[in-house]
Amino acid sequence: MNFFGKAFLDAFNLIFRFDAELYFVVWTSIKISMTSVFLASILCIPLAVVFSARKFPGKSFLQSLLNTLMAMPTVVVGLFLFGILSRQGPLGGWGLLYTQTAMVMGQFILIFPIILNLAIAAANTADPRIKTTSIALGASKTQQVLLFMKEVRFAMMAAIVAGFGRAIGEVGVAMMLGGNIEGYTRTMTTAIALETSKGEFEFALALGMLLLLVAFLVNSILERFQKLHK
Amino acid sequence: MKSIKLLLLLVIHAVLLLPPTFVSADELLRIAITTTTESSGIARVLNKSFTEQTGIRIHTVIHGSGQALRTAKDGNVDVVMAHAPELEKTFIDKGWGIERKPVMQNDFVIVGPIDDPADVKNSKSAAVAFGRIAESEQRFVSRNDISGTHIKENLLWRLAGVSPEGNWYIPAGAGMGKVLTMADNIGAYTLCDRGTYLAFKNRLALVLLYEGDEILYNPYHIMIVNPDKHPHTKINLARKYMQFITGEKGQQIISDYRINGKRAFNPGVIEDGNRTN
Repeated sequence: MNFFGKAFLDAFNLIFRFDAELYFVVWTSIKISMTSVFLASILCIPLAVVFSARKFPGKSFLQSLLNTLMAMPTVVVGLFLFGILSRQGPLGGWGLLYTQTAMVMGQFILIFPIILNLAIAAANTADPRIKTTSIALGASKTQQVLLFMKEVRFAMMAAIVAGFGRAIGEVGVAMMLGGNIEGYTRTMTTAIALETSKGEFEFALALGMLLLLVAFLVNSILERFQKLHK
Repeated sequence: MKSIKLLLLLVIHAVLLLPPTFVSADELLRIAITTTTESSGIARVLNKSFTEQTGIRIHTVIHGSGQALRTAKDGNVDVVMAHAPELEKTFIDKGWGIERKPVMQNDFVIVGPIDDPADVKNSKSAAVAFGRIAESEQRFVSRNDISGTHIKENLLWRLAGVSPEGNWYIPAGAGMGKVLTMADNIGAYTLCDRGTYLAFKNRLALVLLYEGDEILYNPYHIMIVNPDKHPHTKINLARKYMQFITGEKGQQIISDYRINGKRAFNPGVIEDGNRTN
């Protein structure tokens, strides 16, 4: 059977065999990406709203810096944190290298500039009249913020989704900081890298398809969630 | 600093819904193994058996010998297994590790295209074979990653009196499986450990062209990270693991292990290159 045919068949088998080990790997991927996205989002979104609303010196420089950081290679983030978390590093005593916690930290750094940048763009799209209108209608400070968030929620969601996509699809941080430990820090992407190195190309590609399917499901759920709140 | 750590861990663990790792950390052993022991599957079988017998959990990270010894030197693991005798001796001599013991051995083989344009097949020694590849400028894919295999390659080039340079020499910088696949795709020669070769054999057009020279001997050793340098090293668990895989049960597993019906490793090793089973 040809390469792609076998890969599709493998992917199909993978999904419907309900192999506990595989589902654990999938779950690890989702859990770690979700955690880093959650932590990055709760920091980035308020920051973005403030950043967008205020004028301050160095704002455009910060904006360019953020744009640059979006291009950070995952392996560089991995190496940077490796140097810090390795036993010889400044935070080596914490013993965090090769743990899920280290992976969350790495992905957090990786997606922080992405979510922040897109969230700023989202905040910028808001109609400036929202503020004046809501004040004119006698809204309190909290009500103003809520109204503002309601206005930009779709664009904010797009920022979160972009962060999730980057987190679940990256391999550099997961490999360097997690160590691809079976039954603990093995994610879909590090499993793909491992299977590729073993020459199990079809199986690796099947895992890739599974990853896309998972990303699709997560995004569908988010979209459904958005529609509910329309 | 302590409180920052606590806060950080609390937040991440709370969101991850994780049982904090530091609670049961005493029964967790961290080991670094080489890519060849992973891709051949032997490490997995050994570790599974160890966990079943002792209840001690193992976290395994997979690196080339150079990186494995480096991460062990930094104290990120408790035990390291490698197949790069020179690097291992430095590791012990400099006091980064203690108690180096032989685990198992197999050998390297030279693989290449079936028509064998460099005539490697009829070489008298591995060094002669390497010399022929260089002389005829047939393509050779090198690991180029300071792995045990790469160090052996370099030794063979030295013995052949060649410094590998030119378009024919392809320094890949990748693991054994990737290098085999590359060599296979472009019809090049390469040096490969027998375990990985057996695991890949069925999907390769490359064939085994040369084997059997003493110099191709490939011993694996296990070492414990020096607890004087890294006090957090789980020395007791590390010793238990070492006793297990160098002991009767572990050696039996290695001896019984088969890839596609062929024995991939021989248990034990004798120092100074004298081969026995």
